[in-house]
Amino acid sequence: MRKVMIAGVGLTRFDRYDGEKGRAEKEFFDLGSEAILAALKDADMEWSDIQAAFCGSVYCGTGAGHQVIERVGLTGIPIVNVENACSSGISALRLAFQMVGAGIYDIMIAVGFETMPRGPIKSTSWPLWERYMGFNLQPAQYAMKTVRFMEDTGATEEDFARVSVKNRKNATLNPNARMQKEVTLEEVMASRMVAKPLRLLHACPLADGGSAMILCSEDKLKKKDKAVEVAAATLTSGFYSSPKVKGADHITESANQAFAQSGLGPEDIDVVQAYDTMSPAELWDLELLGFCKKGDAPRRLREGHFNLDGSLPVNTDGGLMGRGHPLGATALAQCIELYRQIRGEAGPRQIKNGKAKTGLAHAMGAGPNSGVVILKR
Amino acid sequence: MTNNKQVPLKKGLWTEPDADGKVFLLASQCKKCGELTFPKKEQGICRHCQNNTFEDVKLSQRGKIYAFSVVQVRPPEFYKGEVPYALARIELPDGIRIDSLVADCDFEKLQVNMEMELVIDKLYTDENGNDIMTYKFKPVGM
Repeated sequence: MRKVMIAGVGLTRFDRYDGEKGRAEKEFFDLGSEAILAALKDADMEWSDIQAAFCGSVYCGTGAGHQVIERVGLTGIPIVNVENACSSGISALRLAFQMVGAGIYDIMIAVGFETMPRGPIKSTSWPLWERYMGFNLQPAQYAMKTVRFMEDTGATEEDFARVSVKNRKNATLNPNARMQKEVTLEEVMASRMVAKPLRLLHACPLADGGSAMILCSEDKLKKKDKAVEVAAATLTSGFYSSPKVKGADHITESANQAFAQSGLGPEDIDVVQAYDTMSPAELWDLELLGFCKKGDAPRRLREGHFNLDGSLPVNTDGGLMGRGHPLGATALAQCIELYRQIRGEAGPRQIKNGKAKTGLAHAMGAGPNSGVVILKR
Repeated sequence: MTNNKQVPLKKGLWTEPDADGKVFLLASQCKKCGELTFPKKEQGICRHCQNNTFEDVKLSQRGKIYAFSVVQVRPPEFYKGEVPYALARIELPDGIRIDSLVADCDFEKLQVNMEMELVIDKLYTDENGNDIMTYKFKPVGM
């Protein structure tokens, strides 16, 4: 594998683009193409430089990436649509990383976009009879994991609320985030119960948005200052496990593979974008990814380690909780935040005065899937 | 009790009542590695060892709550039962965990490790007046 560099990135604001309450009305192809144009500008490249595209989305239908790219230019390049639930964007990025790394293409784009259907996610990743049983509600599935996490580690509902408070605060420093208002611990704890023990403000808000990242070989890089390299991009699915057979954890495995690929360890990482689709998930994520021992994340959160000025800032742009969650666009947005932090371009939410050299992003979802990306300067 | 016809949500999830009126959930046990799959498999291979021979086994009627949630919102589609409802992941002594609805009880009293037992209960009444039946678990003695 040769080195794979990030040539440029593009991101729309994550919001509801439904034309209501003074909000703009946009379709996924508007958001995806906006992100592509921003990435080209950032990379100082033309659309004709792009040799192939992987496009991640979940609810945009057949050939969604083609519809996005049709708005940018018809150059006949191969376009492959990638649907991998909430890991779609990171899966698209990984494929582009491998293609450029293997020397098949020199310049590729990974795009993520989504206009989310309204209401709870109508997931089809359960057999029909289980959907009749009411198993297909993500907050309920997360709630069961959360109850188990509390049982195993002693974590409390307030610990989870602290994740929401931190990430919503970070989001106020990110003009691209859907949520622009801080919440207090009391507000989170008083918000309505969705699936015990999880409340409305423990859950990330859905959103619409677009994100894009151009990858290239070192020799094709036009913006050469503070260049950021993709040091690893991994993807795992579930391992067989039962009360009698202890299978590997797919999250831990995706992280271990990424650490092996990059030659870095958890102790080398300066900033993390963890997967906070529900606030407790950020805590067990940090444990499963290897950043703290099992049961230790709540304490480290309380002590401020994961704050912008802490020893390991987590979800610096607000995470899913504050940025909002357009399924296909989310994971690339996580990686774009790492890119900005590593380049020292994160503005008021910049960590360590621009001295961050490495970052790790984790996205996971139904399947199950788990993808990890490590960027470094 | 109504005189509605009772129709199982899905065939083969549980056995017909035996002489004592007891029913059991049905699983497939891999003949090679012994791992269990619920619901039982009609065909295919073992997800653990890829062997392709199974036998039907009756699962224990009692188990313990491994995890649970009391759900306050209606799922987006298909589910037509009561809200709030409770879901529980039941660990059976046979070596398998099964997701289940919790039969009507005081959901506030649910907790991890609580002893639960199998019941067959109505999920909802369909548009033809049939009672759609499913398996649920309820706290022992509640």
